[in-house]
Amino acid sequence: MPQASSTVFRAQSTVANLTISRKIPIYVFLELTRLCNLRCRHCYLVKEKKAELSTEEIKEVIRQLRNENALILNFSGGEVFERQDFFDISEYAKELNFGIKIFTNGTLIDDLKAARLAKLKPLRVEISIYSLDPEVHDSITGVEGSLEKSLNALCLLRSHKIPLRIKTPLMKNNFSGYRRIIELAKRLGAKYQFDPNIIPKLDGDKSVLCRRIGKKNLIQLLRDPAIRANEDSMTRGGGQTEGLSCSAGHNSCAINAYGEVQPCAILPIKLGSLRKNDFCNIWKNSPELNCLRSVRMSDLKVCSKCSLLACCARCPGLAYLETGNILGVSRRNCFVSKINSGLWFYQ
Amino acid sequence: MLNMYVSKNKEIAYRVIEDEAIILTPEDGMLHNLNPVATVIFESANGKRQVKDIIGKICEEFDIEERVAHRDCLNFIEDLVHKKMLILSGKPTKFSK
Repeated sequence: MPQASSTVFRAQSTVANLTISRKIPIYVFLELTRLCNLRCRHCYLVKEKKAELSTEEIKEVIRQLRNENALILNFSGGEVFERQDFFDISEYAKELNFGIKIFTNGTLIDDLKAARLAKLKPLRVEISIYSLDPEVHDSITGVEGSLEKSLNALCLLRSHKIPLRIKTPLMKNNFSGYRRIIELAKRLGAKYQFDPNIIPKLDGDKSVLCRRIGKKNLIQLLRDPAIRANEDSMTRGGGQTEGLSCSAGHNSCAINAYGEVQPCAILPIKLGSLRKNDFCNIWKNSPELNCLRSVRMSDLKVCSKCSLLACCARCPGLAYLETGNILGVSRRNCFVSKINSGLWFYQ
Repeated sequence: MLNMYVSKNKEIAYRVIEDEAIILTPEDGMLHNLNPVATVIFESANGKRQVKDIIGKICEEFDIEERVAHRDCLNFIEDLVHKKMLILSGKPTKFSK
């Protein structure tokens, strides 16, 4: 029988438990393309010699995701606006009652696109800004004038009252400007998020890791009241739930531009191709996925015994890309956890 | 309030998994999980039913006393209206899911 509203609504953690226990892929990261008009130095993506999904193939994927009760679609790239059919796809997803988030560099957004995005009512549009200094930002994107275009997109989207988040991977060459990005976000009424963990490329190339910020910068970031006061302001790990090492593959997954299902965008274990199999079959029967789902924190030989576990945002994707083993130890996660725990101040 | 028509906010994305609804509220991006009775109330809000119809439906489906159903349904619908998941209107609405 009906109960008081406070008990009818269940906590967010209950939603996670419900979707994990019933294997509902509630969050899906849908990479629409690997084409991009920028050449970001730290980008983890690798272009493969395969055909990307067509409009109709993506719509079929979205239909299949709807049948499996997926609810939130993160459209990402490459650059999503490199696809001429972006609105065709996203409006179709909206018709099927999905909540939509859009990750973009913003450089291809004009007023017409901003107005059409506003009609789409996305949960949020997230735009990457590396620095407010054009020399720094453009040197990272490899394209002169890209900062100006991205800032213009932020203003256009704001004028259409679209919820925004500015995302900033922090590296050695853009760290010093992060506070100006916070000020910009506040002026725009946007959220902001910094990521101090540059990751290896999906093909294992670790040459980009030399761009990661070091101890001194990380301490400054973690001690910053603007970061500490805002839980959402720094990327965390995969979200440890009920003894799981991460929720990837349990209630979330990623589909790359070639139609391959993965547990997560940065955990490139191919679970199956949607050109050869349907999503339901891959999601329910993939041996690799079932193996991943059986992993518990206690299976992580090193991490489960680590004294820093409570303050570690361990990411299996990062561990995989760094070591080739999802059960392995990400040196970067260890490094951040040590600083986070304050141990550095006593050593 | 009993004669008001109830509809879902068309901006709400949701799924009903077995007998429990998961609702995504666009303003905060939060997911909410409704219990089975609350899910029936939410699903019944199709723009064509009045509050009193939904109370009747709950009494019928869950075999509960009308007085209790009346009180709890009103509280719950008010709460969902406050959370912008449901909309009350004096006339039937076209939108329904």
